[in-house]
Amino acid sequence: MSKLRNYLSIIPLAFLVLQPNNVVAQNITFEQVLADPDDPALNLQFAREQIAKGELQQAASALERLLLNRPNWDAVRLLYGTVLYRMDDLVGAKREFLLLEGRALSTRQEANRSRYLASIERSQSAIRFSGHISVGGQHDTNPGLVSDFIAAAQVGIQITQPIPGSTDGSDSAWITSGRMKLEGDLPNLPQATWFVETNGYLREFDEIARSSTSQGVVKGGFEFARGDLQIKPFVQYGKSWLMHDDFSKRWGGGLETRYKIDPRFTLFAGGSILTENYENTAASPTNSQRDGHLVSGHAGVMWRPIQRQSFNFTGFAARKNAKNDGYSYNHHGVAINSLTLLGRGAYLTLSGRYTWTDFDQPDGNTFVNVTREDEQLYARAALGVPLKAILGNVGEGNMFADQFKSLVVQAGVSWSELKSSSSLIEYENLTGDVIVTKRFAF
Amino acid sequence: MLNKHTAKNTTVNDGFSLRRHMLVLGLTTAIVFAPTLGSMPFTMAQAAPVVGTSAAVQGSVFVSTGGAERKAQVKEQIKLQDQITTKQDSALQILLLDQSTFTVGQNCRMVIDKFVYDPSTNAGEVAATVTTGAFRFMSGNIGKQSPTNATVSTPSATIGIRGTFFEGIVGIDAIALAQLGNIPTLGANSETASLIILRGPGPGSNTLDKTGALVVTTFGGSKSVSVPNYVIFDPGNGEPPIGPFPLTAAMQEYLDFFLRSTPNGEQENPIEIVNDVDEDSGQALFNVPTPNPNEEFDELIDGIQDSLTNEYADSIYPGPSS
Repeated sequence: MSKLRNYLSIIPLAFLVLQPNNVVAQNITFEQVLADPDDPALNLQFAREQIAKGELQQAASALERLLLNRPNWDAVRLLYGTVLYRMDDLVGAKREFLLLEGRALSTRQEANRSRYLASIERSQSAIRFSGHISVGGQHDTNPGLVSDFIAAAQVGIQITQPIPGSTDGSDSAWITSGRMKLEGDLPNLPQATWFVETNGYLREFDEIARSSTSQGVVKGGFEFARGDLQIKPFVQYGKSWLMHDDFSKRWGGGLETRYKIDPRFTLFAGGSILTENYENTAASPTNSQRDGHLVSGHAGVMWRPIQRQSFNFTGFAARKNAKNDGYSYNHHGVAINSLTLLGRGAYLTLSGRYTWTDFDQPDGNTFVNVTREDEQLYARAALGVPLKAILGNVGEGNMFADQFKSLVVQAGVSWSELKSSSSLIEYENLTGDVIVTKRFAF
Repeated sequence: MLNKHTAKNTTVNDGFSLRRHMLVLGLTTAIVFAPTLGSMPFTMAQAAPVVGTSAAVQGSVFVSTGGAERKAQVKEQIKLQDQITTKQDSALQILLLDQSTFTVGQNCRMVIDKFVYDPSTNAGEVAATVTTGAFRFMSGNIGKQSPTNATVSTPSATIGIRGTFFEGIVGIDAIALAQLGNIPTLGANSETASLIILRGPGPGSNTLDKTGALVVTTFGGSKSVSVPNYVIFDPGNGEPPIGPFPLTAAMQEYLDFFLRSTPNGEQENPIEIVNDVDEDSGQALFNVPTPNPNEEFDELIDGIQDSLTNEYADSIYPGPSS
């Protein structure tokens, strides 16, 4: 495993362009520090290297040492405060940032000091608000999720001779999504909070109207932590629209849990029970037969071999009992997600998913003699870069420029394919998207 | 199998002299004896083993070895059972061989009671006693490898550590600090009372360090804490420790006086730091990926396909179709 970790640590080298330009891989040994504990250059470099490895206690120790010897080294105090912030010692970090108030800091140092201080004060307040808004566009090769058989029929070819790769046309859409979360501490219970959050998604295609969709979910609950265990019971209500028509409602509750075995491995599991209610729409008069209950669960492990790289391995299963057994199914799947931090807030995500869904019987409407057995493959790659990583110090100190640079641009490519016992619903689709995201917190 | 690097560093208590001996005696000898050296008990007949180095010295700090007291200097070896004493306005940071760090503030007395460390495996044990004053401990390799093998004792309590950094204060100032936080102190012993504060890494930390936790045990019982900046108070009278309580701003300020440096003059900058602190601290590395909105629409696939599949189902599958 250590060999694999070493291998993984090479990945970000390809993105050295994003690295701070004076972090030189000197590999200062602890023996060197023991021999020269009062050498400022050596200890500062040692602290930086420990930070790069994610060994923050050693870094904090070295910075504290520098400050004991040189209490007026404000740049180191600012760094020390930020390291404490990363270690979740917010009280200690706040103290260091407050000590720097009124000191002769540069514009950038003062901006960072104020920003971290504001962040600490926000996280220490009894009620907190955070969220993000994303807007962008996407282009799909087959947004209507049309099978080759239907494509063939649409152009008048006998239905038994599909046109491979044909669809009813590619199309572009603008997309937007947003999340807002309000949370607060429960009185007299450390690490216990209540929360209410809303998530909304909208996708509006230019020509293929039936693929224009939107969805909103409101969720509320509590988050409890005890040591390395986190438990999050919740209730939720969600609604979706197809072609601006009401399509479905979902409501119910569930539980999410996480347990951090050690800094590199975290187990997670969760489940929910939802009631689903479908509306009959112009495009789909059979929807109400999909009404029923959906019980789902998932479990997995997050592996973080180095601080720049993490993987999520997840298995999930669901059982849907619908009013019409033709819409009842068992659903299973596995997924892997990878997150690589490239430096300066840039990241690369890779994900893959394989699911299979076995329906109980033919639905008697669309499929009279065929019981659906579906397999879906999904893969995605996305690269995100904060504008600050590109623009650097341009417009430093200008409030508008700082806000603009806090935007994150993400470009992604997704591919999905559905294989089924019924060729009528098989499809393949390739999506390219660009999304700009602004995160905020009060 | 031990390689050259391992053998060279298989120093247990005397990290420097033993390493030189190892190199002279050769790898074979090292391989044979290294495992036993790791657990070799220290006896008075031997020279006291080195356990660390005084890494930063401020004010008047004294080290007493076998009763002979000397003024501490930076880079000086600290040996097992050395008595460390700090005077008014003084502080000391000790760097132990396993990379643990002790910082002691003014008017403190402490001793490293036990130190066993095998660098090749990071296994070992570290134990220290603080009899009065304020201190901060950051655990090193031993605490990471064997979390239960790092302990700090006060006159009436033992603090078990799990991959953490924490602060403590022993004596009359512990009672004063407790009173600042409205913690009951009735019957507390002004000589032996202690107050322990967990500092991190907390559950919200973004590191590869273990989440910190500690257990304070007295004759009367024990209390644990896993939330940073929460406090456990041991009255020092044999009663169970009490808490955890949140660290108040007033308590923090009182403790800062003992343990933390404060700017006292014009800014100095012996080495120019050109990077943004976000980058130097590693904080800039982290970002939360934007969720893919399209994944949320997966449950709508059937709905999107309904109109077309219904239209063409008759062409493919015999039988009634809507």
